[in-house]
Amino acid sequence: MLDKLRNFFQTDDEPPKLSAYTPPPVQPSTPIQLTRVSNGLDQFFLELAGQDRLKILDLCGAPATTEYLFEQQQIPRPDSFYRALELAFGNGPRYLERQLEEDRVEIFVKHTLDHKEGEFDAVLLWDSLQYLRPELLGPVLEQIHAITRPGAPIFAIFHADERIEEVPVFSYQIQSRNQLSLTERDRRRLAQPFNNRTIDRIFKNFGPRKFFLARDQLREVLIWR
Amino acid sequence: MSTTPAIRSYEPESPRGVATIGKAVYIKGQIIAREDLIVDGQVDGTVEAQEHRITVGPNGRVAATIKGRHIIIQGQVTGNVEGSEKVEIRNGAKLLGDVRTVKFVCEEEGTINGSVASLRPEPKPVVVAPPPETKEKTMAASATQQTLAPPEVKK
Repeated sequence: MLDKLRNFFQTDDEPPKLSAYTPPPVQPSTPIQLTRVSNGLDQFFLELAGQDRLKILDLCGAPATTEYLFEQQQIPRPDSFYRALELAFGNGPRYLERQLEEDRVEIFVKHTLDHKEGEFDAVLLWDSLQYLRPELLGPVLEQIHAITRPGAPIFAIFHADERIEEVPVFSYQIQSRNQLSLTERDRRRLAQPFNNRTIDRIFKNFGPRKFFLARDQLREVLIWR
Repeated sequence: MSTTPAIRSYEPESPRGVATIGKAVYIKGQIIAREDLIVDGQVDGTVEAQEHRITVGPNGRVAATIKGRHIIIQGQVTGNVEGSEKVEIRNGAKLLGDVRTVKFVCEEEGTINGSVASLRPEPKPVVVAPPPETKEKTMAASATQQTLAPPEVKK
């Protein structure tokens, strides 16, 4: 998948800026690393209870999560979705603008999440959706709907603070069935604020939803396909 | 007195009992090893060492199915990997393919794009003995079948 995208998008780097405005250089800071209790994840695992060898798509693909799911007798399928996003749209301030380019979106969707119909029994989306503009979000959710079997639990995270513009991009690692370890990889602007109404709207073609609001301003959502 | 010259044995550079494909070597085809194997070169095809350890070194570029007892990946592999005991993905390694094994370890900077499934046999469904009533019914049914079976024709 990544090789195909690399052929289309030659460089990861931001192209030289043509506008007169140059943003100030970002001061390097110590990456955030924290551990948190996740009730949404606990509910996700409750849905899988008593079932072995379920195919679980993990868009973050952290090694610790793959090991954990494997030890739980499931079949994890780590995916390089975040890396593919960076390859296709860059990781600089223009990554949201590039999501307006139809050709770029088309190539990304064609070569990402390229799996068989109804292949997965569960999906870990993490916070990936909040970096997608509606123009990209729609096709990506259609693809997720297609590759997931009906009734499959899907776990997603959104920042609950609607005023915040830039958020840390975390690598999510499962420590136990209700505990997550988060490591900051980058910082990004949110594509749009995601409140309960927005989330209901974007998942309108899916089944029921359950919301979990944590004290650290993260909104966890469990969606049934 | 013997005049036979002493035979000087060849000593490979790799440790005893380990075959090495060096980083300047390119092999296309099937490799079957009866000893531990280190692949630090390029291989296209299949690599098998069923009872042994296979290590894809940091310079290794393998486009092949790999089957072994214990597989360690430090380089790049495109293909499915089956380790009857253990599969390890080390830091800097990239695997594009599915894994089947009993024990799986992936270091923090290792990358895998493929599914990871257990090689353990699927548990057989537990056969529960039918309750006594059902048993009687079954016996009665089989008795009926016996009664209804056409008699053998004597010659």
